[in-house]
This record gives sequence, structure tokens and C-alpha cells, in this order.
Amino acid sequence: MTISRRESLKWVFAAMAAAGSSELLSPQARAASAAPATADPMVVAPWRPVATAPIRAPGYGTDPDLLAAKVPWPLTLGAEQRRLINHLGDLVLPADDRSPSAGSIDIAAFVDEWVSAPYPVQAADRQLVLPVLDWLDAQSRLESGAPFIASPGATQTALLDRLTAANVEAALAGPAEAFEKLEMLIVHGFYTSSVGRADLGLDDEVPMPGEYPGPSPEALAHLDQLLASLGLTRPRPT
Amino acid sequence: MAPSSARPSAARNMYEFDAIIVGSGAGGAMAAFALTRMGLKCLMLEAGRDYDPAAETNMTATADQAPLRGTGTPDKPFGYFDATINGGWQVPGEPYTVAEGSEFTWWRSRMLGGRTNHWGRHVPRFGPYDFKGFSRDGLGTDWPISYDDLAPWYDRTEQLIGVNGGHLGLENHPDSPPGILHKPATPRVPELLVAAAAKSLGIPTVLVHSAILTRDVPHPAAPRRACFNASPCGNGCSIGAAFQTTTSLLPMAKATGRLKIITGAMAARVVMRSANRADGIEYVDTATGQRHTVRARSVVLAASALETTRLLLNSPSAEHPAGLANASGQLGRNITDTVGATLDAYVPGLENRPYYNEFGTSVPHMYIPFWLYKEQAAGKLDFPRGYHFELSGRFGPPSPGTLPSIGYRGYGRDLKQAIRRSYGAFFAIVQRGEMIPNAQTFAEIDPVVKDRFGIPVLRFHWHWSRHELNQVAHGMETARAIVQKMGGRVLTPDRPPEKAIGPGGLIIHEAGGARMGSAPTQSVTNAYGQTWEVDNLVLADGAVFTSNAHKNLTLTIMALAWRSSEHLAKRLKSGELA
Repeated sequence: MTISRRESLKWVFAAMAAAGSSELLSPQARAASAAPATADPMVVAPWRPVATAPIRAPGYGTDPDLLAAKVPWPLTLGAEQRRLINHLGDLVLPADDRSPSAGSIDIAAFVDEWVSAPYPVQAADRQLVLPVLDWLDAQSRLESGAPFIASPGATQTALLDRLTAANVEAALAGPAEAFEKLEMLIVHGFYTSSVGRADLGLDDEVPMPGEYPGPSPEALAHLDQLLASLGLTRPRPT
Repeated sequence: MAPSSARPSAARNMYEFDAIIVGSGAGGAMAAFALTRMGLKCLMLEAGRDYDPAAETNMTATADQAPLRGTGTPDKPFGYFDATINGGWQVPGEPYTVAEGSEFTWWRSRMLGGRTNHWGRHVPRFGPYDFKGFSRDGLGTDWPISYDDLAPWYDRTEQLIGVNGGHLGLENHPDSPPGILHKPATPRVPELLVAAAAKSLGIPTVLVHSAILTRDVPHPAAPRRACFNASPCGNGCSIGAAFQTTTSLLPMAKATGRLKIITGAMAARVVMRSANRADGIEYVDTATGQRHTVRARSVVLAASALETTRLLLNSPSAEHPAGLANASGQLGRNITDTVGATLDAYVPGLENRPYYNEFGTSVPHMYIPFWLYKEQAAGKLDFPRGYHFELSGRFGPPSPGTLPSIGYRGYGRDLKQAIRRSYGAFFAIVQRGEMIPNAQTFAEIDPVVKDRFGIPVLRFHWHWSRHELNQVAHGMETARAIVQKMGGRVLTPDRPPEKAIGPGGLIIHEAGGARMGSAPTQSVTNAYGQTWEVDNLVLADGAVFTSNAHKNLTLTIMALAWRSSEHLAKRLKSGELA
């Protein structure tokens, strides 16, 4: 989304309103700034997702080579968009003692593959993910004068706190829904990667020839504890 | 090829093949296996392309090796690695239509082995009641055979395809004779929890019967290995552990030297020699669009319940104006699918449980068979036929929507902790129930629409009756009670059964369309799948089902196909069909 001059001006006015200069606003802008009676009076950049051009690329078809899988559609995100997604990946899933951050495994490559795909679900997600990237920058400019990635860390986390709050402010409903989509794509991409699978200890693609051993003694002890707390007893398999 | 003027008495010498078999899935491959082992020569027509699971299945690929992490798309609705080729809910260039007011969806695949390459491998036997539903509750029609007629064929089929499972000991859920079943897979923690919760409600949970080998089965032409407990069965099984015809019955039949397979051959109609004798099949070469006719002493249709029905409806003649072998008017009627509904749950007690490899055979190891026959017979229930619950849930990566579904919002280190806490705590109880045939559910030829080969397509009419809706209501209420006993939270919104039930066809258990029966006025075939009106035409797939018990139907398709094929073989050899 490109920001028109008119929109930029509106945001400047809105920013001034936030700073208490509402006497400088036009009557319309004053009404708009007074309208949302939220706990946080901070202004919100407009959420007007614009339909982006539909992806017109071939899918992988109904008989792709399963042994040499490849993504046939062109990726469409720009370097700045991917940088922002990786930065968000670092915030959404930061490094800790069990795994690195999502940004460090280039989660943006997966998001790019997803939102560039020529299928209906992914096309719908594209209409949320692309606008929310723009919105984060616009909102960040309002709050700190800089795009999201260049704004102070506290500004960034404060904004994500608001977007992921249990009760999202009404004015943030649109961006919050879109951000949740992006966040879940980051989660999905990360935990289906080898790094994410290792974090969870998932090893179910590893062949276990012979009889399936079933639950470990620790897993059964945990189950028995749970059953006891529920007043249940473990049935004897037939 | 025999000239069409060939005299029946000269047929044995005139025909290169004893039988043409249409379809290479469960029914067709079983027919080929049964006929070739009795010394008969078969020509199989398969609409799809050739397929070799050993060469094409990516067994241990992880999701990140596929586009979109293997997520389903319109090209591959069950995911990138799913063993469905050129198919899905829509097949390019091969439409079907749905009458206004009906909801129906039709899963097809266009590959050797058909839908056996990706199915669920759940193989319960029908029980004695399931063949005599009408006698029990006055609904539908009894089968012309009883459980006892089919029991030896179940034994043989289970032994042949390889089934693992445990003892059942339950009313109307027959056990297999000793020595047949492979050792069952050990239950997983969530399944044991469900079993305990269900038991406290008086509901049994048993080890499932699955067509998955748990010991090696050597064979010179089709060696199959025991399951190695990795790789989803739906992706196809390159080691042959999970049953599919492409690693078992087809190579076994081919090894006799008496089976020829033509792939890319879309059957268009049955060609007749006389009013009561089929001469062969006219098919379209899917690559060139050219039509060819192949002839044989007999014709076996096993194109799937609905494609077989379509073929017969598309083969009218002066003697058979309403479609071939349709004097009864039952062709296209008595179509059913399985009733399906799902209850998703989150079980806080399963949070933070110790990880172990929970993949097992990839399918459920335990399930809840129907347990209320006595209550049903006593008139205490408001639905007449049974259902079962399949259990689904194990450690796995969070998918998009997993965390929002439990109301979690957040990000950062807390999100990572939330995922580690919850990734073994999601669970689903999946209901699968019997639908009773009804007059408003049927298939007919669409008067206008044709597929890319110029073959008229099917138009579907679908109706769920009170029998199915009440059953779903009971099932979802029971599943909620089980989740409550597990200390779990139900995630599925409380919906009326009309919303909880999916469209017809969704469970991919279509049956009927050309039911068998004891009288030509009531049915399309006799108890051996032989059409009443065409002596040498045998149906060997789900089309002949008189009713469709909640018990997944592939095992019964194969047992019937074997029985019907041996009967045909005897008639071919006796000279009865000379």
C-alpha cells in the first residue's frame, strides 16, 4: 500500500491530536479523534486493506513430483517486507535456550512462499498480511516518527502488546486480526521447520522398525497421575 | 479383438480375455487377483495413470520439504504428499453436478490402485445385524446374504491383505479366527485417557483393526514389510506395510502372467453382444481422446460405487432403455455415504506431558465401536443404526489456528512456552455413522453436462434424514460427555446436527447405486454381484451394497469382490458362460 499525501496529512493531524493539539484539526478530524472511547487514547492509523492484485501463477498441479518438490510460483515480497517479517519473527518467537528465533531461520521465506501462492486460502491471507505490514509501519510512524523496524524497542513491543491483547481495542480490530494471521503463519512455518521440530522434540518422521513401543514409562506415569486426579483408572488393552 | 458377430458358442476361442475388469482399486484388484489365480485371463482398464508407490512415495519427507509445508490446496486437497493423483474433490475436465438444494462432494483419483493408495486402512467387519437391518428395524432392505455367508471371505481377505488388531468380544462386531490378525499397535496416551473416560460412562474402547502389517509378509512378486512407524499411511506406503492394491493384489495378479493392464483408459459404456450378454467395454484413451472397444467373455465393473452406476446408466439400449440392467428401476438409487461429525477438544491435563514418539502406525490405535445395540433394539434411542468414534490426537506441530482455538493470544517467549505446553493436549473425537438409503438421495445422468471425453456426467441428489441427524446429535452429546470426563474443554461450537454433519460424499464411503438383492424386481444384481439381466456382467465394488453400516466399507468391498469373482470364475470354467 502506498500512502497518499492526503493520508499522510491526516495522520499528521491525528498525531497532533494525540499530543493534545486538537484545536488545529479540521472539524471532521476532530470528530474522528473524539469518536473511539478506548482506554488508550492513542491514535490509530487507518486500516483500509486494499485488495492487492491477484496472484496469476501456476500452482504445482494435480500430479507434482513428490520426490523433487519445488515451489513453482514466483515469490512476490520485497526485501523490506521480508526484513520486517523476519524482524517480527524475532519478536513473535524470540531465541531462547531451546531454539533460535523465527527471524534467524528466515521465516520470511516461508511467509513469502505462502502469500505468493496462487490458491484461494493463501490469496485471502495475502489480503491480510500485506496490509498489516504497511499498517505496522504507518502506526509506528505515528507513534515514533519511524517505520516499525527503526522505532524504539519499547514502541514495538507496546504495539504488539495492544495487537495481541485479550480484549483488543475496537479501533485495532482490523490490524489485530491481520496480525494474528501473520503470527500464526510464523508459528506454523517455524514449528514445521527442522529447527522448530527439534524445539518440540518431534521425531516422528524417523522410522522405528519393529514393534511400536508405545508410551514411555514417564509418559504412562504422567497419565496415571492424571487419571487418578480425574477419578479414572487405566483400562487394560484387549 | 473378436468381431461383434461372434457366435456365443464360439466365444471361448474368439476372446483373448476371460474378463475385462474396469477399475484397479479395492474391488477391481481383488477381482483380478481372484480370477487370475483361478487360471483366467484378465484385461484391466484404469482411467488414471500408472503408479508405483515404491518409486513415487516420499515416505519420510517432513512438511518443510513440500510447498506450503504440505498444506492442502485445490490441486492436492489432502496435502502435497497425499497419494491422490489427478484427483480430489474435483478432477480436471471431469465434472459432476449437484441438484439444487443438495450438497454433495465426490472424491476421486485417477491413478493405478485408485483410492486404495491413500485410504484410512480402518477395516472393521460388518456384523450379523448389518446385513439384516430391515429385519431389525423395518428400514431399508436386507442383504441377500448373511454374515455367515461372508465370514469365510472376511477371513481370507484379512489374511491376504494383512490386518493388525485385537480381540473385540462385542455384540455385532465379529472377531477374526485365531492366527489371522497381526499384532496390534500399542495404544497412545491420549487414546488410553479416552478409553478410561469412556469406560467410566459404560462405553467400550478397543484396539482398532487396520490394514497395516506389523510383521513382514514375504511374496515373490509382492513382498511387503512390517510398518516402521513413520510416514502417514495416506501418503502411500513404499514398503507395502499399509495395504494398497499397487503393492499387493496387482503385482500378485500380474505375476501369474494372466493380467494385462491398460492405464489412461476411461470406460465410457458397456458394449452388448445380445440383450443379456455383455461383449466388452468401449473406453476413451485419455491421452488421445480416441475411442476403443475391447471384448471379453465377461465384464466386471469395479470403477467405484458411483462410477459403476454411471457406466450402467450410460449404457442404455433398446432392451435396456433406462440404463443397463435397470429393469428394477433401482440403478442410481440407494446411494449412501457415512455420516460424519467431529468434536475438537483441548485437555489441560495433557499439557506438559512427557514426550515420546507418538506416531505409531499413523492411524488411530484405538476406537470406540457402537455399543448401544440393546438400547436400540428396545426402542430407547431416537436413531435406528449405529456409529463409532475414531480417535485422533497426538504430539504435533501447532497448525495455524491451534492457539487461537484455545483463546491464547500473545507473543514472545510466552508464546514459545504456550506451544511447548499444549502441543500434546489437542484431541478430536470423530463420529462415523450409518446412513439409511432414502428416496431423495440418488444419482442420475445430467441431461446436459459431459466430461472432457464426451461422457455424460452424474447429477447427485442428497438428503440427510432424521435418522442421520438424530444420530449425529447423540454422537456429539456423547463425545462431549467423554471430553468432560477427560477434564477437557470442547472447542467445537455447539451446533445443531444439520450444521455438524457435512455434505454427502465428504467421508468418501459412497456405497449403493446398483444394490444386490434376492429378487430382480428389487435389485440390480444377485448375491454374487451378477446383474439379473446380463449374465456375464458382474459388479465388484461398493455399488452392490444394500446398506452401508458405519463400519468402513473397504474390507467388505474386497470380501464381496473375492466371493463374486470366484463365483464368476466357476461359471466361466464350467462353460455356463461359454
